[in-house]
Amino acid sequence: MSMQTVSRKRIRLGATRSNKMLLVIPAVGLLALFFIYPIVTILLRSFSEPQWGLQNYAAFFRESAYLGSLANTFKIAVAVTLITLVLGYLVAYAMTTVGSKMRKFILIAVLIPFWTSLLVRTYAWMVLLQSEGIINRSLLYLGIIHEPLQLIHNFTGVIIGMVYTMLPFMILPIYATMASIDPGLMRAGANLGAPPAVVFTRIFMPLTLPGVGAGSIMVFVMTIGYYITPALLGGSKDTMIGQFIAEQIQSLLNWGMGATAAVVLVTTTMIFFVFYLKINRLERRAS
Amino acid sequence: MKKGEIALTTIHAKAKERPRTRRSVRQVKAGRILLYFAVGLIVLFLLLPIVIIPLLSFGSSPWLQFPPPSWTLKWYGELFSSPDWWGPIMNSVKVGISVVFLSQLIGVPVSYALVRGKFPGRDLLNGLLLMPMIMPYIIYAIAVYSLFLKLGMNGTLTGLVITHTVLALPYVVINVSNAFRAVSPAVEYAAASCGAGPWQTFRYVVLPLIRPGVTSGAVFAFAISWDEVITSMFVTDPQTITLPVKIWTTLRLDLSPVIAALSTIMIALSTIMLVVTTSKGSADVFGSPSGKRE
Repeated sequence: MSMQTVSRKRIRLGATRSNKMLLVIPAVGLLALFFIYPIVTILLRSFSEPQWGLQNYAAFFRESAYLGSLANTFKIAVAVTLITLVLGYLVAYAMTTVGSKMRKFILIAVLIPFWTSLLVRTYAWMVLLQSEGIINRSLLYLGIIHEPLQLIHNFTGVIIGMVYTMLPFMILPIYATMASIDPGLMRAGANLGAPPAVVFTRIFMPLTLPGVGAGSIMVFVMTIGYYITPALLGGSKDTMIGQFIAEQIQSLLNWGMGATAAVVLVTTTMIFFVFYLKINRLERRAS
Repeated sequence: MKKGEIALTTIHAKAKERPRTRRSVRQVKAGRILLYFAVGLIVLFLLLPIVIIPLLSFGSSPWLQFPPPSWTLKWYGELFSSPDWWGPIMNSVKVGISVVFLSQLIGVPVSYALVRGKFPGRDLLNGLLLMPMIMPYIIYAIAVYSLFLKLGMNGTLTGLVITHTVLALPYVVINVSNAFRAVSPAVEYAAASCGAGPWQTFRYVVLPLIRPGVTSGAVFAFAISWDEVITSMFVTDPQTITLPVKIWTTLRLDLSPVIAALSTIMIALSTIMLVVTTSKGSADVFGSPSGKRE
């Protein structure tokens, strides 16, 4: 009797195995035709336009105007990563120390902007940061400044907008790591005579590093590819590589140069993404 | 009381007696207050735009003064009466709904194969399915724009639906395959041995079990399409322009309060979506649709 069930199961499994390949075909077809193929073709155009060769790459890495957008991108991404790291670490740590109601409130405060349309958020900051906006008016009213600050269409604007967008991506992984740390470890340290500051820096902080690493790489890699926020909040001097690509292709019809910058962006993204996967895997193994 | 517990309480009592510990307790308290003050400011920073924009949308100032000189609903009236806004809204709704169905139709089968199947290249397939999430959107936008130029598909709603489906697919696959993972294969065997065919097993046994994952996948798919700017900007024409592209082009000219009214509605909508996906036990609140590389 048991033999019979086993053989029946085998038959069913065998029958569905070939069906499973059919289940895969629509997804693979869609991605092959409308994702992989166009991306590979566009990246190849960096070698083929206007003629075959590496002249686009030579130009990209020689011209300071081109290289400037890449340098700008890294400068903005590093600044955004560091600022969100400090702010995000504080928020995540506070979330582990407050009561469950307060924690829920903070989590909602983090998730609502996360779920709100990017354009809506960017629009909100354009309104808040304008020279007649609330930020400038409150600072004037409080007597902290005497004339409106230029907070938009410059480096400050991009940083504020990007930090706002990226903060949840830093808070959530760091909080997830912090929440998984066994509080007994800190109590053990304290019982053994370590003052709170030492418990924090020698026990707690090293244990949060995987979350810090994952969050930082995530924020960095997402920031370098951003387009909307820098285009609306930044000035003409703060263009990032995404804007450079769009401009080369949309306005200048320079497909070769646009594609070259695209290759640079894709390569950087992929390298950091591999790091991210490695850190994630390490963390999963540790927990 | 057990022996060990007594010993532990005496240690605690001794620790409390030490003056050094009392001082550090005070330091910790001061640190906590400083921390909560800083975090209070950061939470204010996070909530400020979400709170101020709805207030300004009811204000009468065309330059979005705060506090508003008086209250009005005229920006909402303008939003709903102007064909400039209705056309893009309808396009976005049409595309969004199509994307929900198409991405489920493609995403559910492949998620099932990923979870249950053991075939060569499964990890590769998994990676491929998540790629659209990792790829910077600007790269995908120029790639698909160039392809559609060749195919004559720029400015068509079909092209837009295909593009958005590619971008929504990873989110559907993540949500649905997590739901499949929670269903024991034994359930399917049970159904099969009771005489159900593969389709019946799926329709009456598996589908009801994975419904929460399918629902949140659908919400994600709609949200992705509804919010997508960059690719839409490249592949639409004035007839097929979607709501985000309309907002984008308007924003390049001025900060119209009509956008504040629209933003208020969108903030309300996204709050509802957040509630739906989290209360349905969504697999992944972390991977939000706004997590895209815009």
